[in-house]
Formats: sequence, structure tokens, C-alpha cells
Amino acid sequence: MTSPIEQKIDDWQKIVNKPVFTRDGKDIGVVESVQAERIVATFGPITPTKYLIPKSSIVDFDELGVVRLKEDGDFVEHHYKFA
Amino acid sequence: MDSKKNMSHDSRLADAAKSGATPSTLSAAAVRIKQDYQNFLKEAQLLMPKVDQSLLLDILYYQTRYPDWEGSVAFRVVYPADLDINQKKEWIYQKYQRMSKVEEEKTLKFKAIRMSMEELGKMLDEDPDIQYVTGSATLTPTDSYSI
Repeated sequence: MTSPIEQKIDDWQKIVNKPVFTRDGKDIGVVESVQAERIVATFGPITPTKYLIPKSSIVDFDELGVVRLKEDGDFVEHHYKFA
Repeated sequence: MDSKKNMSHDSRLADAAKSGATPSTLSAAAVRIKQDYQNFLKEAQLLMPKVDQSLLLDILYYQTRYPDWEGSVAFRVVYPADLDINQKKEWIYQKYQRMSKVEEEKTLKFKAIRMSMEELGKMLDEDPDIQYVTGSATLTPTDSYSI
């Protein structure tokens, strides 16, 4: 079953290099790559923090080119941060 | 015949030009190669959706370009947050005789050898809990654990 955002974003490559923010406005970094069910976002230049985020967590990809998540920063840190 | 085999890249291009292959056909060939490559990338993602494409391409390149490549790969294997990561650490040890390091309570970082596309596929088949595999392949074995 596809989420509403999967119906909205027809070409997922459009979100690569775009910034990602949580519901409470925390900057998670930029989208590095898009997998089948998840996106990989990275934050920081030298040893970047990496996040593996389900596509279903994305609530919006607005006209400014910002990817917005439905979870807050704490949830994202605990559940999606992997390196 | 032998002299043809030893022809340089430039002389082959010159021969192609003489034989009527105009620049427009060569540029059409370039477009075709690019399209084929993009289709290949799409198919690779469909076939191995959990694997970081850069890692996949590196392994594929080393394995095909250097048949005696030792398969040296530094892995990061990501599991769901609610899983017993120590059980997975033990599984990795049993399978590859490598002690892995736990990162962020859900990622196992370890260095494998004799890793190939086939072995990577087997690992994913045997453990459906794996969410994502990333890391880096190196041409020569190294003691470095940096990914």
C-alpha cells in the first residue's frame, strides 16, 4: 500500500540533495540516496551522521524543496539514526 | 591479423571514422550507453533494494575487473531499532568469523573478506531483518576500519 506522499512524489530522484526537517523543525541534513522503501539522509561534512528514514515518514515535499517528516527530532534520533 | 589486435584506441577510432561511422552515430552510441547504464542502475535497485548502490557497484567492479580480488569490504549493516542487536552480532561472528562493532544500537560495522555479489545476496537471503547495507569495498585488504 502506498502512502499519500508516495503518490505525490512521482520521481524520487527529485528529493536527492534536498534538506530534511522534522515536525519540530530539527535539521536532519540532506537526502543522500533513495532506496525502495527508505531514504538515506546525512548531516555534517567530515564524518556525517546518517539516517535511514522510511518513505512513509515523509509528510510533505514543499515548493521550496524541503522534505518534512511527521516525527519529531527525538524520535528520528532514536529510531532512524544509524551511523 | 596480429597487427589489428594490437591497434591502439586512437587508431580504432580513426578506422571507425574511415568506415563511415560519422560523429553523429558515435554520439548516438554515447546516448545509448548512457541509457543502458541508467536502466542497469534501475534494475540493480529493484533486484537488491536494501543495498547501497555505490557499494554494489564497487563490489561488482572489483569482482569483474579483478577476478583474483580478495573481496575486502567494510560493511555497515542496519537493523530495525527494536531488534536484539547482540543476537545479530553473534550471527555475523558465526558466519564470517568477524567481530562487529555496534553503532547507534542498530548498526553492525565489520570488515569482511571473500565478499562477492553472490555472498552479499546470500547474506540478505539468510537474514530478512536487514534493513540496509552500506559501506565500502577496497581493492587491497587493509587494517583500516574506516567506512
